Amino acid sequence: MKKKFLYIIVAALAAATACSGWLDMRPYDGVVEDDYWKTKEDVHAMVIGCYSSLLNKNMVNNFIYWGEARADMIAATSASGAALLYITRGEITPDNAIVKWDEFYATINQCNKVIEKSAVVKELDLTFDDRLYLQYVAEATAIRSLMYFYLVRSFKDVPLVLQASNDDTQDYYYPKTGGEAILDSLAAHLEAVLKDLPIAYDSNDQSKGRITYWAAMALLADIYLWQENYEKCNEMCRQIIASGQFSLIPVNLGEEILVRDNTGAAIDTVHYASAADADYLFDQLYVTGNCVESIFELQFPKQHESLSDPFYDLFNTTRPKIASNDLLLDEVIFPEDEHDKEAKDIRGSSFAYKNGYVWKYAGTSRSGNTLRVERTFPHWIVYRYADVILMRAEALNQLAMQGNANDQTLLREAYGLVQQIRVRANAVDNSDSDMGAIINGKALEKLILDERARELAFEGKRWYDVLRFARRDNYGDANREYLMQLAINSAPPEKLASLQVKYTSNWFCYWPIHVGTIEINRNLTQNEFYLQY
Amino acid sequence: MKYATKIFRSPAAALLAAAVLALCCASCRDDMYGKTFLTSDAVMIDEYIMQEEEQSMSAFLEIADRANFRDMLHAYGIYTCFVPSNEAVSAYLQAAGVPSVAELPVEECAQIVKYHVVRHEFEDQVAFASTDFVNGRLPLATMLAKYLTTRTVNDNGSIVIQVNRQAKIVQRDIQAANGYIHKIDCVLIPPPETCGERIAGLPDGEYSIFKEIMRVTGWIDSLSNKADSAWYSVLVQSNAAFLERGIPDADSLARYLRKALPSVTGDSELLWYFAAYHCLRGLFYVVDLSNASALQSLAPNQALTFKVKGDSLLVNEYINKDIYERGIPVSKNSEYTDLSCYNGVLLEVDGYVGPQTRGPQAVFWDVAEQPEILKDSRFRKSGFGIPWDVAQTYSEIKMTLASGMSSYGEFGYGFQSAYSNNWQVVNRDYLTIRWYRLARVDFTLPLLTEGIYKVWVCFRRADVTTCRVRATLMQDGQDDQPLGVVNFSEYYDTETAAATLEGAGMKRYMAKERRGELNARLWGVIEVKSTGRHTLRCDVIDRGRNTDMFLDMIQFIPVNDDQLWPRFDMMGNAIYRGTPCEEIWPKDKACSTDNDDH
Repeated sequence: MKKKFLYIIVAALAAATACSGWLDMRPYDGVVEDDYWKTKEDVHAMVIGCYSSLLNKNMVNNFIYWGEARADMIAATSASGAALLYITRGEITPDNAIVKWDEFYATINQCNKVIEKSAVVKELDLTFDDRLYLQYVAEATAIRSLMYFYLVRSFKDVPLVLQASNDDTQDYYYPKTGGEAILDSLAAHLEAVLKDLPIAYDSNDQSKGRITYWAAMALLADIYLWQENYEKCNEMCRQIIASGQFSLIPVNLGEEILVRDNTGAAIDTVHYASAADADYLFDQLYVTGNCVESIFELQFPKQHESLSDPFYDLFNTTRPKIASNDLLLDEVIFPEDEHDKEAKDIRGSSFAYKNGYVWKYAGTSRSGNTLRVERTFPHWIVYRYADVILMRAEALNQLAMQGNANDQTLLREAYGLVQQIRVRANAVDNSDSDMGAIINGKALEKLILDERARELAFEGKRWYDVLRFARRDNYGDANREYLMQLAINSAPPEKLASLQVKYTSNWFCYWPIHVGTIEINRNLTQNEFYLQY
Repeated sequence: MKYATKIFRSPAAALLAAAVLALCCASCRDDMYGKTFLTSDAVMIDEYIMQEEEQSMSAFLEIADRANFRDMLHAYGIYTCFVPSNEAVSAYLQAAGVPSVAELPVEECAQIVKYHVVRHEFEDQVAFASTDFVNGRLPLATMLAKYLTTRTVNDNGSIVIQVNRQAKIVQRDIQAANGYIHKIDCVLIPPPETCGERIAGLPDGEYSIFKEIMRVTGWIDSLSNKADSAWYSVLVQSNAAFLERGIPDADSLARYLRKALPSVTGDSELLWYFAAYHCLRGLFYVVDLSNASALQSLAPNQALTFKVKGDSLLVNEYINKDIYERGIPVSKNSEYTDLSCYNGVLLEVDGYVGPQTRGPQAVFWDVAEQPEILKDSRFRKSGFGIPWDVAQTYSEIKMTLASGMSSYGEFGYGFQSAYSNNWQVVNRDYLTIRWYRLARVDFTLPLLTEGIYKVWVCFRRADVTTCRVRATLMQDGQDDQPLGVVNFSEYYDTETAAATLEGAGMKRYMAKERRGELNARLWGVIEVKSTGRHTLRCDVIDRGRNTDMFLDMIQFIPVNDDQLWPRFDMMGNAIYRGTPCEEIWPKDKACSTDNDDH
């Protein structure tokens, strides 16, 4: 009896003095789930929340670092920090903070929630009609697909999570799913929701800042291109082009100017592009934003008092973390006209870059010298018309080469698309761009990659472009040379030899999974190349 | 209550109840909540090896124990350790015919441990992680005073780092409190063959001409002397490279050399010159040569030059107003390139490299190219500066402090990552010098060939009224040659015509924009009596106030050459007269003309 009482005291004391919040499971730092998902306005707010999550500073950093750091157009500076410095030197290790994917999965979870909960809300809110419901689901599906597309291109195989994480009973330790399988599922999901997306929203700003039918199609085209499904990529691009919703902002090239040699014989014709038109193009694309070329862009507020500014942080002119690799840009990417140095490609110096700065994000006008101050954000362009035109050219180029056919009709059509971009920009003609009477498919392929570098400089595409060209046909047909050249363009001399050897490993072309992530998720295994670390 | 009183009457029970009460009260205090606590569980290198579950490297520790090196691996310090696995040690023992570690001679154990450990001397150094490795040697020697080499290779589909071409790293970057462990699959053995023996062993089919020349000139013997403690680097050249110049044998080479070296008489001397020209004193792997501009060969007064172009390293590229000689690439993929030997390293050149007599040649010396700075992997990589507060010592700069000054930050290294017109400095870097703290500075100069030169000092001025320094050239076995006094606070005169200024010993050295802050002053005329590396002594005449001066370049231009051109751009390119402005970095910036140009 005595003993029994003792136990009672012990138990009672233990219970009474344990943590006070023990029985209250309601979180103290948020709204309880079940209190939230009631009306279509709640769903709308969450959909907008998915877009806002893309404005996260780390997310934009990832778009830029993942798309550019391993490539050749940027250079590290004294302010870069060790993580970026190592990557630009080709030293990639699982403890490098740049390879963290946390933001991507946070957004994926938000999208999953929208998809799951909007079905619940539809039962509760009778004013929530089918069209709107399907549209919200489609928007969330597209954003989620964009996130996975980044992950697959960067890591190849990643956990595919399509359910929202709501409570602790769920298993969060997802193993990897094969990259190809993920892409198949993304394409299927996107194809399925395409019809639910609007062609345009109420305002131009929304039509450029939210996923439209066309934006989803551009994403699909990009995914198909990565999957080497050129028929479908071509079809997506064809529809976007045929829609008439987008166009290239014209740049007046003025009269044709004859270049004569010493004897007075005409040897070349050149153009001087209108400086005012180039200024206008720069302003529309990178300063004002939401222009007729844009298909989908992340709309930062024009000004904001407190939001972290990733662009200023990376590209400011006092202590930039990222500089432009001017030596390469001046000599290789934007070669000079051999006859007339005044006939310049408008996209080069003082457009994409200026004096070592990434001018697209550092300047407020092309020809001026005014700098962007902190928290006057540019937009981040995800897809624009020129990208689609070049994707189509790439798809047609590959279709033409299938079975060694070198189909001249298709090649001619592909070249026509590239020329559309080149002529608008007053690109410099040289032996690389002159395709002659009979087009060589491989020569055109290289031109397309070079043209993408010029047109989409610093827009987070370069590394993925080079990798896509290199991995084509399972790194076949000397395609790996694209990576070897990239190493020459980007590596410091003492690291070049080892970097070129590393590029002979397919797994080195992808990021390692961050050590922290591996430690938490027992079902994840490190990517093959990085196992020795 | 009755029971309760009864219970508390029992002292043991009361104690228990009190303990429970105390425990409960303390149970859920969130003392740790929201705070960061750090505990160090870092272990020393030997502790890591002992604690490792698989015990996969324990044999190395036994070897260290036998050699009495255990204490070192356990001590605080900074070490990079290449630790062979137990299988590797067994294989080593088996090859040596020794049954166990316990029977290895102590001396051999010591050799093994010393060859596997790099000891970092200074506190601010960090051990070498695999990210620091290049295809070449490690920047520091092992404790055996021999260098290890690393190389990234594709080994049947997997990318591995080889050490000394003997072992591969199986687990890298294991961090211990006193350094890094890299686990390797083979015990490293220093290369037993000397450079001479290696050359003698080159296959006859491809290298017979080079071997023959090295043999008849006695160089194979000289390079085979293990008692000689010097390091050598030898440039190997294949028969194909000789045949390219129409040289099928040693006799034809002698004939060929008569033209190149008119001052040398006698065929055997000519061949000796050629052989000596292929030898350098010192250890130079491809990576080292990539950062060298010119090196003295063992042929008297004959230097080799090196230049990186794209992904190749060129030897003896020569560009002059009238002459262009294509450089000969070092053949990076040859198995004889970066081949470590007992007393040096071999490298193969992919073409004919030979001595040649030239008159004095201009040297445009970027003073920031100091070996300690060059050695830093971050050098000119847009991310590097040596701040004031680091008491960095330079092997080729000797400083004497002014009286009353204690040593603190006399020199710094600065890097200017973007263009700025009043910070146009060559190669974007400079040495910051605080002359007011100094009495004297001796610079070891780069290699100068015989001849008479004008010496120009190029700097960004110190912001004081006066800061005057006198220079003296010192050559071994020769009289000192005094130069003039330069005032480092002086502005470049932007008003007067360039030709007039030259007469007054002042010039503009940057090509893009003319700025008063950036000045070049004629320090004096020197006669270099013998080709080599000499010393420039700088004595501070007038200290000035405490302000920094930024030393960019010292130029040595033969007296008969154009003194005003080339100028330079910030990327280090020499810009010759008449170069259009658009070709000068940054290309979109306008240039300033000179006063006499408009």
